Amino acid sequence: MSLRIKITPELGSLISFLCIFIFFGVFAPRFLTIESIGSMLNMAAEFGIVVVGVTLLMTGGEFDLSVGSVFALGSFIFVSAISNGVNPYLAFVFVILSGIMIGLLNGLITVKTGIPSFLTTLGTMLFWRGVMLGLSGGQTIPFQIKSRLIENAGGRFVDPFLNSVWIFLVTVLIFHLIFEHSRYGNWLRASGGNKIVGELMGLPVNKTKIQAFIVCSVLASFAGFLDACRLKTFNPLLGQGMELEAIAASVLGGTSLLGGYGTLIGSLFGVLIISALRVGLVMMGMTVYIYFSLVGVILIAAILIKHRFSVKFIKGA
Amino acid sequence: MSQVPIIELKNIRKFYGKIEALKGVDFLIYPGEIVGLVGDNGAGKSTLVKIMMGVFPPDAGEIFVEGKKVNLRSPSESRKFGFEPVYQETDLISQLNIWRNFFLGKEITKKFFIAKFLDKKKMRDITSKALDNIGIKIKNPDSDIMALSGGERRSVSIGRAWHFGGKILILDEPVTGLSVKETEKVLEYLKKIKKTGCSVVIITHNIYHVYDVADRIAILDRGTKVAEMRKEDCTPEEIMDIIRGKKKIV
Amino acid sequence: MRMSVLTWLKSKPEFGTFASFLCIFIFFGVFAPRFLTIESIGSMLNMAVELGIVVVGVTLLMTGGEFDLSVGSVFALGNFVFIYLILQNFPIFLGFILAIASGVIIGIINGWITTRFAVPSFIVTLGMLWAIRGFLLFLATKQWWTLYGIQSTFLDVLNGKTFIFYNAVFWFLVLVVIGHIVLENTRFGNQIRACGGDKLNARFMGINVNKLKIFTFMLTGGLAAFAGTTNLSRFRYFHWYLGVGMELEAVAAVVLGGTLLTGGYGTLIGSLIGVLLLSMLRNGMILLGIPGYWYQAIIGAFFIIAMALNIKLRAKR
Ligand SMILES: Nc1ncnc2c1ncn2[C@@H]1O[C@H](COP(=O)(O)OP(=O)(O)O)[C@@H](O)[C@H]1O
Ligand SMILES: [Mg+2]
Repeated sequence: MSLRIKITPELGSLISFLCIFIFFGVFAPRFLTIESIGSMLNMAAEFGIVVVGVTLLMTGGEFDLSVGSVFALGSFIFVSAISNGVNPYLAFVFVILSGIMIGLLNGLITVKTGIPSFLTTLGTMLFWRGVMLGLSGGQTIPFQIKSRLIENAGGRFVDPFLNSVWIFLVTVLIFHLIFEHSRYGNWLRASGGNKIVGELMGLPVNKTKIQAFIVCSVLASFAGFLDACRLKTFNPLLGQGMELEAIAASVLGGTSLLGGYGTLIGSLFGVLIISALRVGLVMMGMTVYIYFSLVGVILIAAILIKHRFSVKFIKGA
Repeated sequence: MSQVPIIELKNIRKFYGKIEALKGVDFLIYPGEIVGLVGDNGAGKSTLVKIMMGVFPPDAGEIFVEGKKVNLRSPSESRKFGFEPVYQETDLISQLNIWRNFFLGKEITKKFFIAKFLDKKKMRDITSKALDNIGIKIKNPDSDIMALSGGERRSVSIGRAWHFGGKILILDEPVTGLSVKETEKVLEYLKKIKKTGCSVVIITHNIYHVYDVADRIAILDRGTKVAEMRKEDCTPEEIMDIIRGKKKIV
Repeated sequence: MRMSVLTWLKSKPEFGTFASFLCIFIFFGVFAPRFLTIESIGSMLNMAVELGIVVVGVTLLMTGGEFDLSVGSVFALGNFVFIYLILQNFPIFLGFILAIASGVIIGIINGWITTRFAVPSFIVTLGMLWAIRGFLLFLATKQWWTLYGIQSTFLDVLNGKTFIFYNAVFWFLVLVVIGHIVLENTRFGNQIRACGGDKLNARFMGINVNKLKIFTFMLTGGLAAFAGTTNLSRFRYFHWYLGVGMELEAVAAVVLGGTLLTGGYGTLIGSLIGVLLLSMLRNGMILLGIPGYWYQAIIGAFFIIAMALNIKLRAKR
């Protein structure tokens, strides 16, 4: 009559997060203050929104390496549009439309040509980064335009939390519901788990995947928009390296690299682990550089732990 | 027979590049019968049922469903007519649990404001009941597929196909890789399924497996149907001889 | 006779890349002034070598079905160890050996973790990417690292200029030839392919899969560090940013050449063409006077088209 809890990957990421959290709570002065928790969440929000999309897509068995570029492009489109006198709401619509278009393109190329999405999106990553650099001339673009939209998207209703934190949490919740409680979530997992079987069972596998590509790009460009509203400037270096970090956060949360399994609650903690490390190390007075090393080591440790549990689980069954 | 066949395939031909996998095959299935489709490896059995399942179209020939000429353009069209597959390769997705697999593509949802949510409770219940009805005991519909034995997995596939099929179950090598005991169990399920009025096509290259359960047996050899007979009219040995090419068509 | 040469060419998996290479070469030859000069060819090769040396290892590794995302960091590490030891007045040759050893050790760690625990090398080496980069950031951002004023025949031989070529061009070509012979004509090469194609079967055939894989990781790490030492001998300074993003560039060059992302097939001649293609594109665009910001966009678009072509041609065979 022993109490048996199935160690799901999301539980694993929650435990790791708590360990890190408690560690800093003990060793870093002022870590357990509302400000520091605020800055942890603020740091997590935009990146986290991107990770939601990446998790979705990876569950569907596909990669998107272009998210960093699309993130920057979202910021660029918004900032350059409003700087040229376009109404911010309309500019926001442009951002979302561009996300839809980019995702559709990623999806169509992958599905129609059979190029692995890792490579398709490696190509579009370079392409959109180049387009953005070309159009912006590699310049940062600050702006001073005032608008309700910008104030709300980049501001904070409840100090010290940025509004993007709430948006992030709501996004996680919505997609968690979609994952666990909708047909689409079921189909996406099936498409990622075994495309051939999915097709045999009559699922619209390709359509399901293309939709996931679109969601992923829309979320990335939306996060770019939030970034622009917060910083009131566009920077062409934005989002570089984000593609691999997003994959890492997803995997930390328990999403399978091979597709078929993903969890948004896990990804939430994956993202929080990364930003807790960052904030915590700064508060311990460590140089932020060591943070990269720690993220790397934790990533390797996480995959090893996950491996141990899953092997035990299969053996035990 | 006076009955209308549920499905009738006429003069079906299929090429894989230069290989002619089916060289003009006729095949039909009546309601409520178990048909054994036998033949050596590479005879074209899987190809024939894949055409019935709408996986790919034939290169020539016609398909009639209940007397009406149709084109089966996709698996989902085929499933709409009530043809349910259990493939030779596994047709369960190992990352999904039992009830998710059971209802894959046919999920039950309930409306909640504007969104449609999965009705998990209902699906769990139906899964357990459906499997129970044909004698399959599954502990928990939330179990991982990875945790099931080969026979249990096959049973889930069969139970699912029966539950959703209604008309014809198509089983491609359902007992390959199973132990003798598990094989017997699977054949028992098929008999129960037949009693519910559902037809079954069972593919195998081992005649002894189907002889017991089949009403009618068709033999394919290198893309041609070389014989077809009612079980009463032949012995397993005769059929083996035809498969081995020792005996000509009766 | 001419027909048969064409059929022979077409039968090669490198054909697609080679054809794109020729097309682009002719295009630039016609439209870019001074493209067909010996200087321009030289600078194309010179631009290619560091990435090229890395790509030799990555090709073997990917043929064996594994990834190494840490090559960019190991490249920087090789650079750093070498310059550090030289500045500590170590004998230069010893420094060179130790620098390569650092890469070999990282490779062994990557390979050991991947094979011992059967976890995806993608994640292990992604962790390693950050672990090393963070370490370099931590150690190396406090001072300027340059070899200004140090004379060394060894460095000149390693990567001085002969005629218009840097000597590393020579090392690169030698490595490609050796790698090609190994992959095509030795048991070792065959075994690498077997591992990448079907690990289980390979094991049944009596191949020690783990040992083989660790060895290819080691080779990849060693070559990445070697590329780092040649880079140092050429530029004579170190900056922590060296090699950032190189991992994806290497993958791009390798798959452009016809090596499969999923393993089981690889070609070093293809990789050579892939690397040259990338640097030719850059060089040609410079000569055409295209603003630098657009390079990535053009390379990205080209990459997708070339991959689609590769897949089409492969399907035909
Ligand atoms: N996807 C395919 N591509 C090419 N040839 C195939 C393919 N599938 C089956 N074949 C060939 O068609 C013939 C019939 O195959 P199949 O229908 O699978 O036979 P069976 O199921 O009776 O063993 C065989 O010669 C087989 O090699
Ligand atoms: Mg078959």
